[in-house]
Amino acid sequence: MIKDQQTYTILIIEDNPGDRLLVDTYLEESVLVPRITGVESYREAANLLEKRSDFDIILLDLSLPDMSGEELIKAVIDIAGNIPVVVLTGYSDVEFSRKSVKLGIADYLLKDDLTSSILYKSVIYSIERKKVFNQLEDSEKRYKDLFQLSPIPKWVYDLQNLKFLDANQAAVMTYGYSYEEFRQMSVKDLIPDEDLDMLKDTIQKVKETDKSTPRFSGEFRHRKKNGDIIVAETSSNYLEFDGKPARMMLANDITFKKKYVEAIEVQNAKLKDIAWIQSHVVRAPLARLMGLVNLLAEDEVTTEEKQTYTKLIMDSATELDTIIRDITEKTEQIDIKEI
Amino acid sequence: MKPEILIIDDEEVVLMLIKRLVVKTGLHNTPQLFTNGMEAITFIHEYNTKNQPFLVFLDINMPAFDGWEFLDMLNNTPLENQVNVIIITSSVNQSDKAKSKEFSEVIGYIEKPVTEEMMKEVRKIETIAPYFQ
Repeated sequence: MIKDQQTYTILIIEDNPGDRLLVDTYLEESVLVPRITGVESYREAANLLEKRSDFDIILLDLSLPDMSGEELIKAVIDIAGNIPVVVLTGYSDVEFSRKSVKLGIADYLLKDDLTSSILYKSVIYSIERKKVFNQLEDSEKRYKDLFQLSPIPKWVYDLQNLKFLDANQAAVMTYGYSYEEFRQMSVKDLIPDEDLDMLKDTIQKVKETDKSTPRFSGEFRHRKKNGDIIVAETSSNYLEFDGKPARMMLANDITFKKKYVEAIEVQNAKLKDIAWIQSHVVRAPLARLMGLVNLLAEDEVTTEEKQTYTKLIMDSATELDTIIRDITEKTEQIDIKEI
Repeated sequence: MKPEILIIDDEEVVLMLIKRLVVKTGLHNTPQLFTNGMEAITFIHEYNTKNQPFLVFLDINMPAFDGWEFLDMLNNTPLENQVNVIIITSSVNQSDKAKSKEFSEVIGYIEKPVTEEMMKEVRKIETIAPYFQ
């Protein structure tokens, strides 16, 4: 038999020296480098696992001097973390073996039936399966984190009755409702009464939207728990949640941004107003002044006329001065920091 | 027949300046002066003798009855007489210039100040050139 070249770090929890020897022998037959550590009680195992977590697998005998049976399985699963646990027992009890698998052990082997190849297969299979399982758990956690830890409020609602099925921390923070309160509410509870018709229209459109395309729903007014109204920019995506058609929605609070834009629009209007004054009011006396200067340059102008024109030029200049002061004053009043 | 010339501007000084140029360039010796569009409309209707053409130098920004209102009124009360309008404005807004093109009576658009050279060009405008030959 060709031996497995890989190194396996194995913890055996077994108090019977004969059984321990048997397991060691079987392992050495199929694995080139088994790095075996043996302990004889639950307490020893617990102490060891507190310090070390580098085991690839744990082989567990079900009757130890300080603990046994179901209680022992639960206790070992608890301290094993991500390490797969294979149970070795002298008793054949189908019901119990099924139950122990449910508790989280990787495999259940009868000592009487044990051979080198059965043990080897079980070890390899348990290690590989646990690896895949751990990866799956990691990726599920990652996706959950993406939803839960997102700084933007997100929730999932039932497309039929609009009830919230899930809500993230940012939603809880922004809206003031606890997670449990969200679960009792529906999307309608966030919408001010006067906007409910608009919500109805939107939901209708959402239901008609192709499931595979995300939908930008636009701006909505939302009511927080404390009664404050915020403006949220929302978009959503179809998903199935616990087998029900649902939407995952993202609601970005743009209240401040909107206020800022409005303030900029007001400022813009003021600046346009100033630009208008600039072209109409300023240019009038200026054009008059230029016309008068042209006149002064003519040869046939009498001294008396010259005096009249000079006075008119001065009047226009004074008017211009007043207008410019007015513009300066108005411009100084514009301050976007007022928001 | 030489057109009757009307000058409409809310500023007396500007009326005087434009009148000087009209007289000096020989367009007319006694142009009619108005400080608002309403008076000018009344004048046109009163001098509505057959075939008498009118040439109006029109300011746009006036406090009471402004240039646009004058043009609207002219369109609403059709005359058999030929009325041509040259806008003389202190505005340098492109939107004003664009708007003026919507009126068929408007045959010229001058940004103030008007110079003697500009006024000499007026008589060469195709629509009214025959009057001054």
